[in-house]
Amino acid sequence: MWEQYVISFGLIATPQIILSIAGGVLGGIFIGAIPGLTSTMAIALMVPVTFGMEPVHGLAMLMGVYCGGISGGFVSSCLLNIPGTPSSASTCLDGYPMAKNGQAPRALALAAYSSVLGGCLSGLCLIVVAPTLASFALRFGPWEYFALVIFTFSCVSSLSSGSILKSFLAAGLGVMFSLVGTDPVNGVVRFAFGFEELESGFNVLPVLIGVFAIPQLLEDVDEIGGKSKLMKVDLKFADFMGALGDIWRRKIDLIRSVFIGVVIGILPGVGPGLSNVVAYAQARTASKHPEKFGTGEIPEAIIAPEAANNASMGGAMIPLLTLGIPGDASTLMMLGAFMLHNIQPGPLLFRDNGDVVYSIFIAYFIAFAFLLVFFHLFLKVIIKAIIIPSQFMIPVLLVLCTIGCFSLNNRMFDVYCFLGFGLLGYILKQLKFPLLPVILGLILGHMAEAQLRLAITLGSGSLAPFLTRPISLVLLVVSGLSLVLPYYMDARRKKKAAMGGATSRMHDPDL
Amino acid sequence: MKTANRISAVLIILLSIFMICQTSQIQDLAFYLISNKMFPYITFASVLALGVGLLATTFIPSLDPPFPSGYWQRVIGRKRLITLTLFCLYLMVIPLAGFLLSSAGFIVVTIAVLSPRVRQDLPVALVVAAGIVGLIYLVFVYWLQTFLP
Repeated sequence: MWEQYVISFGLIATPQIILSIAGGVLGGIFIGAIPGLTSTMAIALMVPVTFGMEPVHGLAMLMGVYCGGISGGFVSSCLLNIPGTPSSASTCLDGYPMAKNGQAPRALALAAYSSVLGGCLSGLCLIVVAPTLASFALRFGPWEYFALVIFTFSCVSSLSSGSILKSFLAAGLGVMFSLVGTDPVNGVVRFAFGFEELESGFNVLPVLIGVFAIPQLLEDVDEIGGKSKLMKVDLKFADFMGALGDIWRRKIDLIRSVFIGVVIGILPGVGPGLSNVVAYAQARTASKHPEKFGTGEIPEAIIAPEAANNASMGGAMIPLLTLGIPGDASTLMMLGAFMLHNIQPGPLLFRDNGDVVYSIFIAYFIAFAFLLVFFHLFLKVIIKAIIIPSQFMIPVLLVLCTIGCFSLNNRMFDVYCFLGFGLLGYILKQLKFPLLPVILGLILGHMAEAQLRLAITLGSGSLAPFLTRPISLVLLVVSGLSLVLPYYMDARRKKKAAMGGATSRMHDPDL
Repeated sequence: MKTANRISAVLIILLSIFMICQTSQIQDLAFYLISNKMFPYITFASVLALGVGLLATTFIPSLDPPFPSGYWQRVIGRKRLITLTLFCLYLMVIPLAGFLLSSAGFIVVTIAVLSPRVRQDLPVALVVAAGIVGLIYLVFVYWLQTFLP
């Protein structure tokens, strides 16, 4: 394994790749810092740029964008009380009050160092867990893979906010779109409706960019004209050192939050957006002064969410690299990038493209090193970027998405797909359908079809192996439980509430 | 929420029925035991069932909270529609005027239309448009050596 690391380090240690990672991190921080623009958008904008690059070069750069995009969100959380990305939502709760109390440099420094430490620790989990899980996943047959797809859909549906039925419908729509094009086994063209371009199916990236970018940008139009008042920040090196001391004194909070982040990151469908909320709640529960949460007086209220959201990145990369299952929207974009470079994530990736995997691990840590440097050097400039008015951002981003989609295959059809799926995504979002299952369905639909057909063929027409093979059985049972459990918990909560209500009425002196 | 769900459920049901009909017209090529129509049938039938399920939930009282007031006005708000229309026009103009010119035009026009302070923002819009178009040319044509639309 160490040999692989040495070889991969040799691959990645070129000025071009190091500079690309640095550029990616910086771009990611800027985009992540701007309210309304997420790390998903940052990766979406940068994926087409990597098209002409070698896979290691392109993916290393995107790793930088991913790290920067997730980390940059805290800037506007602390200074504007608007989360730059959903992953920094809980940072607002104490980051902004701390900044308002005249401690803006402390809040920013705490968030910066927590992000970097959380990311690095989860990176360690990634490099330990991923190869082990990959070698375990080599035992998977088509039954296990199909069960894994079902598990992913049920997880995404039960964990996403809103109706489970709508989540499944969204996933079903995604699988429907995946069926367009040539049959993977027989080569028969289906559902192309006479369009030559559809014979090879929908290109994943324009769909991905459209579904996530257009609804977001259209919603951002409403922000135009809103005034953002930025407080003045005088960041010094001593603030960073002070933050490091604060974090060291609260290392248990940091480690707990990293653990939460990694575990939540591994679960399909949820990622930094949830981990920061859970970590904040846990830090509050564990604190000796829970009443001070929300006042901006205690550092752990910033350390916990920022460490957790960055830790989710390492967690989300584990199922992506080992099983080819993306953990959240950003890793979905990363999966699109892998596919663009003709690399199929999964257990065989470690055997067939070991150089790429280990280069990604190294790029991950290089990205965090740059992140630390850039937070020290450019945080003042990044702060200014967060008040760029939306009327400038929206058309520029639309143009960049357009050229990005076109350059994938040099055809306008992909741009029209971008627009079409963007509109579909917008409509679905307004109707409260989650968008992540649509894309998951589109990407995993191929896998589901191929594995199901292979499983039935190998089983001579029998479906019994799905239930007789232990891993497949466990995955299917867990899928079932993940669907039933939310309803059960909900019913139990309602029952408890009703009983509580009845008890309180019994004690009501008026009765 | 109920009406919106009802409409979307009906549309999904119609779409899945249409797709089931389309599946029946695919050339049948069984590979070993498996028909190539099996997975599409399973998918569309599942979507159909889920669509029916969604439709059924709309008849259960007080299951879905109503949308907040003014929700649909915001969804099809003026600014959003203008942005979308301008973007569609931009995509139509690209094959006629070329990517660089149409992009610059789109950026300037969109900023001018969306900006609450047109006079102050117009010079900035021109600079932004020139800068972005120049950047795209540098990255995609000069560096990555790809084509522009």
